[in-house]
Amino acid sequence: MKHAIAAPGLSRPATLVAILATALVTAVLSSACSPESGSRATSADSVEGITEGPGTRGGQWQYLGGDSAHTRYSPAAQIDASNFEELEEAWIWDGASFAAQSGRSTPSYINGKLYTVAGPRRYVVALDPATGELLWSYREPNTARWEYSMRQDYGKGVAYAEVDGRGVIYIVSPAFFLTALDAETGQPLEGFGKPVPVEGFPRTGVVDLLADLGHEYDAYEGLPLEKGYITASSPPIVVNGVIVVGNSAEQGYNQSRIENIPGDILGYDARTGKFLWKFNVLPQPGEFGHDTWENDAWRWTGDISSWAPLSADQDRGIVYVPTNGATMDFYGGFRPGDNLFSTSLIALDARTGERTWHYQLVHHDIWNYDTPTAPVLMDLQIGGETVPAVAQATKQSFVYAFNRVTGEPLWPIEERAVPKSLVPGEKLSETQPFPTRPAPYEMQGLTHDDLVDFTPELRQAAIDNLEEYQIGPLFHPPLHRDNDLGFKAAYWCAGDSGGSNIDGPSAADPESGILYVTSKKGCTSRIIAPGAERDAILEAPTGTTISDYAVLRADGVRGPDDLPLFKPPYSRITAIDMNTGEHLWWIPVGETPAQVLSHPDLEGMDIPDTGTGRLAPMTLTKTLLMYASEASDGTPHLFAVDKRTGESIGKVEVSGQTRYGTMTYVHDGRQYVVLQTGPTLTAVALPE
Amino acid sequence: MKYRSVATTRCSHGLAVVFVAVMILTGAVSLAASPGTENGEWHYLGGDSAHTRYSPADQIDASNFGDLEEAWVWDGASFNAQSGRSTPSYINGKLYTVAGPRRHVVAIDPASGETLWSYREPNTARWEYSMRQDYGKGVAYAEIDGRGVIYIISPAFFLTALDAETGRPLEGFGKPVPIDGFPKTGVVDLLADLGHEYDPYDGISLEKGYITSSSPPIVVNGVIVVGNSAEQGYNQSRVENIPGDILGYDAKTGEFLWKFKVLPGPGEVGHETWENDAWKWTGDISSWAPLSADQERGLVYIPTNGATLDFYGGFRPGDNLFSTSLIALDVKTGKRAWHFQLVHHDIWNYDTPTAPVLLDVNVDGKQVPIVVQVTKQSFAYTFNRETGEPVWPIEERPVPASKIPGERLSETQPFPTRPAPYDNQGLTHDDLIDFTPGLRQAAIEIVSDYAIGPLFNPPLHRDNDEGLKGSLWCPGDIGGVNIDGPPVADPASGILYVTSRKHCSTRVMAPGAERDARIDKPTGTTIADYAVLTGFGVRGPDDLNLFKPPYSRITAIDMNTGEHLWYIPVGETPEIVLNHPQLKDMDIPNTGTGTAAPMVITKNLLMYAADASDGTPHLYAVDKSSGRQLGKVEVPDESSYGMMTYVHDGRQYVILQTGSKLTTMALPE
Repeated sequence: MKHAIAAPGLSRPATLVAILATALVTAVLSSACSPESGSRATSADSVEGITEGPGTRGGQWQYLGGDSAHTRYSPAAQIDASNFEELEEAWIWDGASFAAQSGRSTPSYINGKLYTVAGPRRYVVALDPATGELLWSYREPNTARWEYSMRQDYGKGVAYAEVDGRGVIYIVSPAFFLTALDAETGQPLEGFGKPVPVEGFPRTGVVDLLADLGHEYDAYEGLPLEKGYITASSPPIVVNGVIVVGNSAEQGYNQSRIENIPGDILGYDARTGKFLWKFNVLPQPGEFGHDTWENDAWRWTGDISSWAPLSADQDRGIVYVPTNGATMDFYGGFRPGDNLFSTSLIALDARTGERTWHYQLVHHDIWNYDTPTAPVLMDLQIGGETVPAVAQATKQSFVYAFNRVTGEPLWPIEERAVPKSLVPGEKLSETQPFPTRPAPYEMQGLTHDDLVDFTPELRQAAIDNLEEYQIGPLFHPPLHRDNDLGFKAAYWCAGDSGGSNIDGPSAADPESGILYVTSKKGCTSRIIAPGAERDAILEAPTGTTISDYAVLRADGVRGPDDLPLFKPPYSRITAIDMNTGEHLWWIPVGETPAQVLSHPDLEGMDIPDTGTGRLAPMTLTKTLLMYASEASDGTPHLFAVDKRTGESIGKVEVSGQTRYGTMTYVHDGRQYVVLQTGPTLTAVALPE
Repeated sequence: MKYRSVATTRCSHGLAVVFVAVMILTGAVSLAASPGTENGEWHYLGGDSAHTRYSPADQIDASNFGDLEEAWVWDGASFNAQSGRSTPSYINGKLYTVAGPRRHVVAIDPASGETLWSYREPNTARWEYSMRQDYGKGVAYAEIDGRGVIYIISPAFFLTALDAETGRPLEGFGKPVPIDGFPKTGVVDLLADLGHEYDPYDGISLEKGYITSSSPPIVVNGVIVVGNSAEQGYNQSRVENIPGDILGYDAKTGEFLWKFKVLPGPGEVGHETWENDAWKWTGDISSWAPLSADQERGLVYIPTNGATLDFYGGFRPGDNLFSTSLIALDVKTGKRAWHFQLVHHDIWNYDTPTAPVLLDVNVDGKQVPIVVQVTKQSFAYTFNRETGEPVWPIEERPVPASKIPGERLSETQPFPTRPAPYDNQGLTHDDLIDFTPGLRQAAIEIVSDYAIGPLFNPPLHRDNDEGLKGSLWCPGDIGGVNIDGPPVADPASGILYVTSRKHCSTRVMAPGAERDARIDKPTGTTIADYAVLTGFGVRGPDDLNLFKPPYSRITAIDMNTGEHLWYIPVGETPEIVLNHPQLKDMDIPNTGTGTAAPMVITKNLLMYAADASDGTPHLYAVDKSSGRQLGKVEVPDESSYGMMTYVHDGRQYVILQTGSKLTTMALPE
């Protein structure tokens, strides 16, 4: 009979392993100049008692993107090419008790616990990293503003900081409250925020974010819908003791009216929840960019939300904010001008909330080219110099790359002429920015040469299917239903689910400077009609003034004979050396679907691997690029490829299809990979 | 629905009395005993502290029962819930239950089934060893200084008090536990007050014994009364264990108040029932079934298990008080008010499996406060709950002796003269299946390998002189009433509804060393001369039940008179019987499914869960006074253990404990 009390945290040999691992990784990283290494601790110490934590060092995974650079890279090295195929299921956590569905949250692994959000209520849950057992859960009480949120099950993850030696988990809820929880117990943080006058709310630990936006609101109901709606679909990020809060708007493709509020960025004290600053994403009179709003639209329109996760340079105290377009998608006739800071990348000083620099990726966006993933920070070697960079992957299949301190493009970005809109009242920008490097990683624009051509008949069928649609180059604009050309609509590429998107965040290797982007071919057609037609079918429209035009419904062009309309690959991973901007290699995602492989029209043909057509949730480690996808027969697998060459290292079958992201961590000396398999989390590891 | 107006009047009167008493207590000590089931509440796992599983809710009645539909399903998967062995409590607008092997405490929104908060006890080795993990059964509740508090006992045998609103461990309760992850407050280490050496993480050394819990505590007038569970007696091979002493704690502070010794020491009543010095080293006598309480009288009623180990007690000669007994304790002092041993020197695994039920009845013109204990042996033992006097005579009658070397049984056992047994006792050939002479003959041949006999037919060892395989005794350890079929009672009419099933047991009794060799981590040090090697049960002929129907039943017993009013089979005849080739064209009566019926009783209805002939799970409603079926509705899953009902925001819900889920039925909105 053993009689040993497990000493808290110290009894386990793994602690030593972790310490050694930290030392080792720090040594490796200090030569590689990761934004997470070096002097980070110094600047964090400048805010007394508050630190942001370890990123991915020592097997941790602190941010939803691993580190605050959002690389989804971990130095963990236990799983490698030699043993990858031995991976087996370690545990499954079923989120059913929290009504989890989407899988749209990447857990964080911090100081021996996993943290994530689950279900439409966006419960915060802590899990045992060795068993997947639930440790604690936190639920925000009900509000009408929560009920209305259309981003409920898309929380993506949590934020973390250490405040006076105590771990704190932060989330932004669908109802747009900021909550701080003790990481150990899940209890709302003492001395944080202000009491919320809604039944059931804890006395402490919560900030009502609506209070600091400057609009009239009700604590339970939120903003009046006539004015607008704001919610959240990402956690905040803590930068040098400041919690930076982004936001989400109602989907722009579900709008029929022109009023909304802008998704201003908010800054709070991580210890007290005290409001520090607000950055106006829609510049007010006298503010930079105000002149990009004509027709007085700045007074009443909005969105420009930052629904993708934020990244931060902790050393420099800069937070990087990717934005959405302005209200509304596909028509902007009522808001002439470039509409800063919509569809932009904004760098803010986390201490003051002041703009350090910005770059508008799309002027006057009417393509739903909202910036869909967190920008990735890397330190690169360009022309013999170390350049602190930020790279933004996008739906339009450009990687926009900047010096993240100055905002200078790393390689020239040229304003080039683009087509005009034929939709009455729509005045598009005459030019759009085209990065000259890296080359686009996916199809841009559409010509008949992009269409399926396995056989001449298939190609002709594809051309026929396109007949009713107007096609063209990148930035080909939407076309209204009753146009003079007799087209049904425009069909533009990349469409709103082409290129990069939410469910395929990029990964990057801070040692090599290689960025891994997953993308798919996807074009879009929408039926654009008088706004009143759409308005009539919306149950609770936001705003008061019906737009001249709005999207009535989505439309699409089918490929011939149940085959994709395009040439393969249907989806891919592209490795881009960001030191040079050169593509190194690309691979299709997963394996050719059985539907293509066994297609009667293609019998006897040698079809290359087409990829599945879905994006690849990826995690990068010291030795491997791992991604989740399906084999030809549709069974979900985890794949491993060589980071340098893209060559396949192996695949292992896993129990469910992965959505959004994956992550990895080392707990008690064992490396785990967590797949976000819809309502469950599936952890795989090497046999014990 | 017919109602005797007298009964209805008595009902409201009885409730009013309890309610007034509660109000008085509230005023006196600012610590309110829970009110039970009025206004649609369901405070205790058995509804009220009398454990009637009765609710006065009446929105669902015979006229609309068939309209019931699924309101919500709560899936306990995130907590690894499996067994369904917990009845939620509905208190002040929230549902509370325990879930999964960790016995997470979970608060649930009563309108939507949404999880509100959860609490998990940190890991300990003593939790890992517990064999009662997923059987928490429910929670206890009290109001402390106007704040609701939820109490549970964990598989690791900690008592935890949580703020009902937030799930936060209660401030100023208990003492810090020196284990990583435990909250600073809110927890009492129950091992500290048992008087044995222990380690906070590992618990008691297995050589000495093991103690855990499979029920919540009960709060009576500001005192938390804590029962316990032992390792299953049929999984024991050694004679040592610790006794499952009952503990009392202050509901506000967690301060230890008293311990009642279920195994009396020298100088204590009952000590003489232990020979061979067995009181020094053996134990169990755990109170694993839920406790009931008379809040007015400050009495708690404790049903106990047998002593270590099941099926052989040669090393513990004597009656072994207070094993397999009903004990009434004064909650203020922990002193025994009275007790009654239901089985002397129990070696049948006749552990008392459900909470005793308290009723106020009228016997021969006199109001009598009673407690009735239903059992595996199919007796409803009935006492004046104040004095412990049997309401009807209970006679000591001679019973067979054991042939197992060293086993000295009691020469007599108590036989209640009333009410009549509600299910088979003992076994003769007349109890066997007789649909056809061929089937009957086959059944006779099957049982010919076994020693059969009357009630208290003892186990027989493997290498007996008769050349028999063993003994087949009836009821067996899953016959009569068991955990998953707690009885219900109507406080207005005084009718008790008991669900039971036919089952006999056989066990291969062999030298203890044979069993010991198969146990991974045996409890104790000294191997018993005999122990059970394998179990249990004898198959009937041709995949049919060995017995005559009904295979399981609900019996209504008027506790004013002790008379059986009616009985009905549980659910419907299984298809395997209905379509059996040997029974073709025969008129088979409803046999019942063979499983016990989780029940709930309301102002209008007796509801129970069972399967239809084709195996689809249903909720049934029957007339309380006649047993006539009023309706059935299909439900998504099979129920395990109990069920409950509550009224939230004007809508009545019925919760079925459907394994890993809770399934809630209600009328359409």
